[in-house]
Amino acid sequence: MAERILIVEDEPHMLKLLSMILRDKTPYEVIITNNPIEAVELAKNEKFDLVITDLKMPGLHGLQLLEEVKKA
Amino acid sequence: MEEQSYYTEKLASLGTLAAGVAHEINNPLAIILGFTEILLEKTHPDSEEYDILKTIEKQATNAKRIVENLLSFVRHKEHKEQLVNINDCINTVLDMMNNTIMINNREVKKDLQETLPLIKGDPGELQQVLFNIINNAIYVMKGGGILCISTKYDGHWIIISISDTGCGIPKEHRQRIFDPFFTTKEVGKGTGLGLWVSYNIIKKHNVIITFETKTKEESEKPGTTFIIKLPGER
Ligand SMILES: Nc1ncnc2c1ncn2[C@@H]1O[C@H](COP(=O)(O)OP(=O)(O)OP(=O)(O)O)[C@@H](O)[C@H]1O
Ligand SMILES: [Mg+2]
Repeated sequence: MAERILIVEDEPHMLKLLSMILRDKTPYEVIITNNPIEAVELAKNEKFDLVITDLKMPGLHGLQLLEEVKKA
Repeated sequence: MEEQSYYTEKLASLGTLAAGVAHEINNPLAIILGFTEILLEKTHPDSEEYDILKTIEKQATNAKRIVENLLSFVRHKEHKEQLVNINDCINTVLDMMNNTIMINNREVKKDLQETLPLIKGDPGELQQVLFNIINNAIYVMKGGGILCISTKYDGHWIIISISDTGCGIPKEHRQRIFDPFFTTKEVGKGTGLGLWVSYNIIKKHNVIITFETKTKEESEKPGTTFIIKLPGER
């Protein structure tokens, strides 16, 4: 199974840019969301090998998000 | 006295404003540059579209440079003091710039005093100052010239001298070269922030910076020398 990257970024264009680059240039499976809360939910059900996150986002700060994901 | 504190305050709030604006501009710039790069890869280098994309890339990169310069000053990056050997700073910067300096018939003359006392300072910041001054010097020696860099210790001060054999600075500009955004470079080539940033770094280090300059109307050997004096207690 390919390694999986989760990108969390609330700015839609930046999200699109990051996912395009990673999909183009890496063999990994790229999963995206613009919502940090949803990211935590995703991480509860699926396994990710790498999380790339924005820091300032409405709802949850990126660093808190990482803590939550690690717990999940 | 009062006037001065008014200005300091005004400068401080300008700084905060500039930092805010810079952050807001950085994100859209990163997006513009990122997508442009993606499109460039998908476009034939001989096409008109490719040229247009290159123009977008260049203009956005210029804007990014201005923002970075502004931020490098207002961000109040942690000023980390340690004991620094100024000769090492100079060599680091020269190594970094070697390729740019050496093209176009430019020559470097280095005369560094071997045993300099160490100074207390932030090596990254000091390198930035040296970089900006050397960068200006090589810019005015596009057709060739000699860049002289020397250090010496007179028992009290460490004196760094950086001189070029360029065009010199005309009288009417001498008062303004440290002003933010003052530049005589073509649009897009310079931000006019190099010396301003340098001056602000230097202020933090209790350092004196002066320059001597002669235009070709004033001397047969025109050129500019920047002199930086740092307190060097053994
Ligand atoms: N060595 C020099 N010889 C002649 N003119 C100089 C020299 N150094 C600085 N200047 C003048 O001072 C101006 C301001 O310099 P400063 O480094 O602040 O900005 P800049 O070089 O124009 O832009 P940037 O640093 O972003 O490339 C220059 O545009 C130039 O007119
Ligand atoms: Mg400059």
